[in-house]
Amino acid sequence: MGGCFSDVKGGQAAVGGGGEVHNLRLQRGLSRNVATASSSGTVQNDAVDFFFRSKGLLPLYTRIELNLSASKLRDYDIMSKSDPMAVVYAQKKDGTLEELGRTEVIMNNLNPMWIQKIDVVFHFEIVQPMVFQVYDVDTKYHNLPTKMLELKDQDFLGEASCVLSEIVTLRSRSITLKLRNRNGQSVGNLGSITVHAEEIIASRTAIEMRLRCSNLDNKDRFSKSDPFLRISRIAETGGSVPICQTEVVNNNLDPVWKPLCLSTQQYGSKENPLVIECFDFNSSGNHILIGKLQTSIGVLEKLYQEKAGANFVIPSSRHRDHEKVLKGKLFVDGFYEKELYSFLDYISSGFELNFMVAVDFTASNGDPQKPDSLHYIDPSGRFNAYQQAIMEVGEVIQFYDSDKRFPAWGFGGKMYNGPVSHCFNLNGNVGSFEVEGVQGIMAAYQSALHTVSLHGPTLFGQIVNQAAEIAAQSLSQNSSKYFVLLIITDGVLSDLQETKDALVRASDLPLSILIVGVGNADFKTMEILDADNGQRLESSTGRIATRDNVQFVPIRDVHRGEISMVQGLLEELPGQFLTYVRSRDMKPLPINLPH
Amino acid sequence: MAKRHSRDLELTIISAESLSLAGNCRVKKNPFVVIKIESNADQTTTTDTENNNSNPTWNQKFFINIPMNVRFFTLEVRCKKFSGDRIVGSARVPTSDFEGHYFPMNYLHFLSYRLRDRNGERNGIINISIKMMKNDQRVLLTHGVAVGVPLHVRY
Repeated sequence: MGGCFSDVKGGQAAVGGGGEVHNLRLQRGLSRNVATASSSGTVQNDAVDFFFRSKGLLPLYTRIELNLSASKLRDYDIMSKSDPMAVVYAQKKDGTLEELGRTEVIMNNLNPMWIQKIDVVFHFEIVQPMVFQVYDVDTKYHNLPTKMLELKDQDFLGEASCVLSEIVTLRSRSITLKLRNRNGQSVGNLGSITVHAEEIIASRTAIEMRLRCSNLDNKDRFSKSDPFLRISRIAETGGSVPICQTEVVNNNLDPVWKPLCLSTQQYGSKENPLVIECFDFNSSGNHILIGKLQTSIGVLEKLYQEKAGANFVIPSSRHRDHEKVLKGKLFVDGFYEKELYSFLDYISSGFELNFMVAVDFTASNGDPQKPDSLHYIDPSGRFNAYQQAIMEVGEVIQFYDSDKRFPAWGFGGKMYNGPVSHCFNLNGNVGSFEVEGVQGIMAAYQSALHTVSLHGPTLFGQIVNQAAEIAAQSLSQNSSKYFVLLIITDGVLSDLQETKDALVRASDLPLSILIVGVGNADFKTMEILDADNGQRLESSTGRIATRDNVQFVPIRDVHRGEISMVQGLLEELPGQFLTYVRSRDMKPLPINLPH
Repeated sequence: MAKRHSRDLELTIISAESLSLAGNCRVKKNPFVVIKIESNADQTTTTDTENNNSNPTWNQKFFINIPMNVRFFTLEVRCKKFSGDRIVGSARVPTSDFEGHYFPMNYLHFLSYRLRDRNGERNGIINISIKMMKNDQRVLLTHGVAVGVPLHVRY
């Protein structure tokens, strides 16, 4: 039981209040494009959507968010209770499941109310079968982001299915479904899942608040309470929907929480009643209510202006309908209204994503003449891993790039009669590294395989610096460009520290780096560069990356994976773009509709 | 008054993260930041009273002037103690991080640095932003007096 402390941390993190909800929602925007580009499914294309909207036509669909809760789940953990997470799928016509999203993991709880909402697109004219699965997530995975969890490693707690229009047409917009086993039979009672659907409001207003409490009651015997706040909205149809939860402040009766950000989508309107509950965190999942209060965004704003506190109350144990007023108070230290523009707001107003490619020409790829080489060009026209990555990512990104001229480089190759170069122009042209379109990259790549001999070692530093210089130069001309460098590589990095230094410098620039790993090498160093575990990159001089702008995906995961490589690679990009523009307070360009 | 051979910049001390005082003990004593530039008087943020913990936020803006020959300045996070101030951690900020030849004037740099205590041990991170000022945007610098104007930066 000892040494569990780090696992508790995952359970103590904040949910839904740090703006990451918005990012998730925005990421969907791009994933949807990806889906159409790669599988040409029935999913709505955002570009088509824009086309319609610019002509004043509204396509027949509504965006809906699903709020999930479950009750009486099976208990699989021996020492404690299950740690449930729900996964939502759309069932396609051929019966396969497409994952739409995951909730957070709630620790030790058999009746979870998840806060993370799942975004779906409701098509009026299509039958959309949905599948909901609930998993018990093992404690050792609690510090991983939920999207990285391998579902087959988790205990299956049950699934349920229904058609989306079933939920939407109900007056309460809520449906409760019995969970059953994977093979469809219900063995004993597996509990049930409740799905509540709400339409997404197209509003960009959000409120950022800093909350603190004073004089909270002490609920722990040997130390002070470990308080956190949960904010729920009272829905029109009755019942409350949890919308956000702060992080846990340990051992403190006068806690100050990090700023939290609530969107109009979350809080409804300024008058909509909200319930704020303050709990003492307990790793057993049995959080003790310290006090609660009913309020609204309007009231909180007033508290902020008057610098006044609101007292918590607690339902009396003896008299029903009687509440005891507590000494503990809630204060609002900061209250800002702001506009949260989405990724698409920026893109549609003229911001561009500029695409750049760098291809690995190190010898570890194998002789390009031989079929087992990663660089082997199959005469039958079947793509090798490099071509596949260039095509799939290029196809999506080129859409956001108006001139479709892409810088393309190679690294780790030896020029004919020349030295090894760690950044050479793929087209063999000394003066210019730009090529025309994705087809241009493909052609330059193929011709380079004839003129450049594979060498080594694998160094990224020069490539990243070159891309950074282009990004920085564009700043002085036009600040509405964001650059995306795609590095395709098979190997272990030899200049880890130099690459880190270059990436740290790049974090201050409008630049994201996507790394695709091909082949079966050990990609541990790449995982370090992709700072998904919350560790920020540090340079040799002590400078630290200000944001995460690196994404790594090994291509071998694609074949067994549940999401496509491009999707995995691109899903963080809108979020990375937004942290860049929002931190600099950059607004979408004034709209100039093209004639 | 304004020196010819120097550059002016707008420096915002945003926040620090995961500070600790000796071992695992948390910082409780109102951390503040001192900006040290060679040949200039030090400038100081006010203490962070709202967030009395290991993740203080200041969001305070300063106009500073750095002589052309100076290649870096130093940031020191300090705490008030009975026996005077104590340095929790310090970081050196090289001017090359925001002065590269291709950066346009007025570009808002967001920079973070590792803080190290006196023994060179890692002790948290400091987050700042820097904007180089054009000459015509010069504000009158009041020498020797701190000109920290608290300002809420939204990010």
